[in-house]
Amino acid sequence: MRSLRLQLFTGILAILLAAGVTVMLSSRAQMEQALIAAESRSAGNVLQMIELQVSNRYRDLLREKLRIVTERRAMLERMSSVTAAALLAHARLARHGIASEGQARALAMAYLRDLRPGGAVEAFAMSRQGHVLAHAAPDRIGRDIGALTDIKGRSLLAAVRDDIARDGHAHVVWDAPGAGERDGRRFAHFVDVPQLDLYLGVSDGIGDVERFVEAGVEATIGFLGEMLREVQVVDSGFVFLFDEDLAPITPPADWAAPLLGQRDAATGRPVMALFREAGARGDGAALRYTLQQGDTALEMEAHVSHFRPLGWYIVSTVPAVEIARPAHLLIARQVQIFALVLAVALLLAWAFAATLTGPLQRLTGYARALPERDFTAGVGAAGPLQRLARSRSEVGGLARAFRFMEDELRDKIAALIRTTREKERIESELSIARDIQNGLLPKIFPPFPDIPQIDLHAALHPARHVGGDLFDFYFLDDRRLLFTVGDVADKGVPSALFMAITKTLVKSASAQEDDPARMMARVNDDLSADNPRAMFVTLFIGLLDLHSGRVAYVNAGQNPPLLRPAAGAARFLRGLSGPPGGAMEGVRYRPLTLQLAPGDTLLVYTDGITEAMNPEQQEYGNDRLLRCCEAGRGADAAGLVNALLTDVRHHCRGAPPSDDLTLLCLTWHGAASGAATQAGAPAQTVAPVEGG
Amino acid sequence: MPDNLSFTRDQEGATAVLDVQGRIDSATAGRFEQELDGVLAARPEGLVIDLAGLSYMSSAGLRVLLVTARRCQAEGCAMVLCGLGATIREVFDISGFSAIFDIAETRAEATARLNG
Repeated sequence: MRSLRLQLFTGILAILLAAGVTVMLSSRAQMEQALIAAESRSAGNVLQMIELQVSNRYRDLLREKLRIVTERRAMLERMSSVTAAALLAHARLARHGIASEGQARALAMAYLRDLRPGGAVEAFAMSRQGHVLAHAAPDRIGRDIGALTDIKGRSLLAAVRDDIARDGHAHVVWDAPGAGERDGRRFAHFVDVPQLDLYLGVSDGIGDVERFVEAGVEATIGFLGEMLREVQVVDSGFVFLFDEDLAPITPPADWAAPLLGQRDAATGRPVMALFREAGARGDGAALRYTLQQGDTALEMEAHVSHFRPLGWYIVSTVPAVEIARPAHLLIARQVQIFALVLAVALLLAWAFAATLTGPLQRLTGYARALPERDFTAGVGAAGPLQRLARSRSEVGGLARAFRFMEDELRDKIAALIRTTREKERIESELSIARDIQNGLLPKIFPPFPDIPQIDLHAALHPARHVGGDLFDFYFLDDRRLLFTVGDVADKGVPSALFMAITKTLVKSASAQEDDPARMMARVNDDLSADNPRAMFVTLFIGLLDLHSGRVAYVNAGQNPPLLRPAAGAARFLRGLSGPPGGAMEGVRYRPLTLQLAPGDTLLVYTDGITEAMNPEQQEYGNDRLLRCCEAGRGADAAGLVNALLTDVRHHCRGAPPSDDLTLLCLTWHGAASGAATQAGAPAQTVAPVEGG
Repeated sequence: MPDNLSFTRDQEGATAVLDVQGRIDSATAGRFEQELDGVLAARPEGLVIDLAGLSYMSSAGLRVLLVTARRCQAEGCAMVLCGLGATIREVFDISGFSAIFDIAETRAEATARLNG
């Protein structure tokens, strides 16, 4: 089906598909990239968030630690200041002579021995060589603490001496020998007491501060563990932390935990090592690696961040397919929506094509039904098109054109019917006219079967319905036969009328005159009398004496008659009597005579015979007429006439006759009764005698 | 149907000359008559009809010539035919019209006859 509707529909379908596919193809790659980037970024964001959480918590922890330490230090400084003042008071005893220097020193040492500030705080005196001089715990006295190493790696004595030399006091931190930093770390404030030649130190154990920090970190890990269990990157992606030794701090997702020990297929290196390297690079670039899960190779993407203060690595990793999944989902959704929109649009397009082609189908139906329409009915049959014609669209224009065409057709057909009726009327009148004209001609052949002296036959074939040719013959008395052949100029009804008049005039003239020339003059005068259109008739009038075979005749413009003697060659009778009848008034016609021998045949014809044209515009001609007449010897008059007409028809080969064809053939068989030919002199034209 | 009849009008002094080419039969005689009417409407003193270019003339054409001749006679205009070929001449001779019309051999002779 190559209907317009289908074509329209196909066109719309093609446009929609082209637009949809173009939009989808062009946007697909971009959209996919954008979505993957977004997913990737969100994985990175999770990482940053975790990192931020870790660093915030760690900063809070450090801040708290600093606060505690600062507080302790202030306390130690206050205490060492008070204690130093007490030591100075003892030294002053010796200066003021209240006690000897030794006594004063012993008193000061005793004071320190008795000093118990409480908690882990201890006050003690250290000699210039680093030995404990006084301490609340007697077993400590005498110990060489100057040889201890502080946490910066200096000897305690050197640290104290240098700092006091520079700042006037010293802060030193060290770990007690035999104990870790958690239990044995001590923080001490030293001042110089030159009056007693010793250093005063007040120390406090700060293991609890370290323990506080550790607890804080533990809490952070616990919190992260809780939180990360909840965090899900896309579907099965996860975040986990591990330390410098690749030991997990928070556990990875259950499904991945057994796989992370694998080596990456591409690089051949342990996955965890790859994580650590990516974290150490710190460029934030995504790391691609492969996990082998059963038989399937799982493409993974990871972002790793390194939190240096704690030596932690935070890993956010997700299967690569899942990153692209939202993009694929969106594209699938887009395709679904497009398919839906396409379906709806195609439904609409189908309906639209129907509204467009429906009117065309109606018009087609209308046009098909047109030939069966009755155009003679006056009512506008374009009724079905009325609604269409009101439309301003092109189809409306077409409908209007159709309606216009139908109206025009109706008018034209009505006119055609009128003219056809008129024509039929004229045709029938012409047919009647022909009947009347035929009625004017003798119709009974052979006309004189009882008169053996003559054999006469005539025929008239009009070129149109009515013609201007005529022939006639009748006896004026028992021995004189009058025969006439005429040809009125032009053809049609006027000629036919003129022909009828001529025939009547000949008849009346033949009743009044004896000589054909006089008859002709009379006919001519009557015809010329009132002839505004200058109609004229070429006329031959002959008068045969049955007894003598003598023919008196007149030829007024008629083609030369043909004489075929019984003995001798056929020839034309060239004698001319005058112009055609009606051409000129008052003409005197020259009478002509001809003596027939028995068996002689006279043929009178109109120019329709000799001028009959074949399709090559060649005339039948005099020569062929002569030949045909010669060939027709042996036939009677009727036979010769028919032979001639047949020959003319052969010559014309279907070309329509341009003029009436009229022939009159007369054979005189001699005066004696019976058809026996009588030997005699050959016919000859008698010298013309001037008609009277 | 493209009818093969055409005319060329000319004027020599007070004499109108009509050159006729083609065929005159029942179908074209009407146009021949109209053309002659047009020529005579200018009231020429003489009329020469040159039939040299004519290949055929039927009785319908003869009738037109006859009408024209009568009209010329009534209006005092002399009419001369010229340039009759053998075929046309035969038509005139057979029909006896040679005796009715003033016929010259050539156009020059015709105009000379009118002006002389």
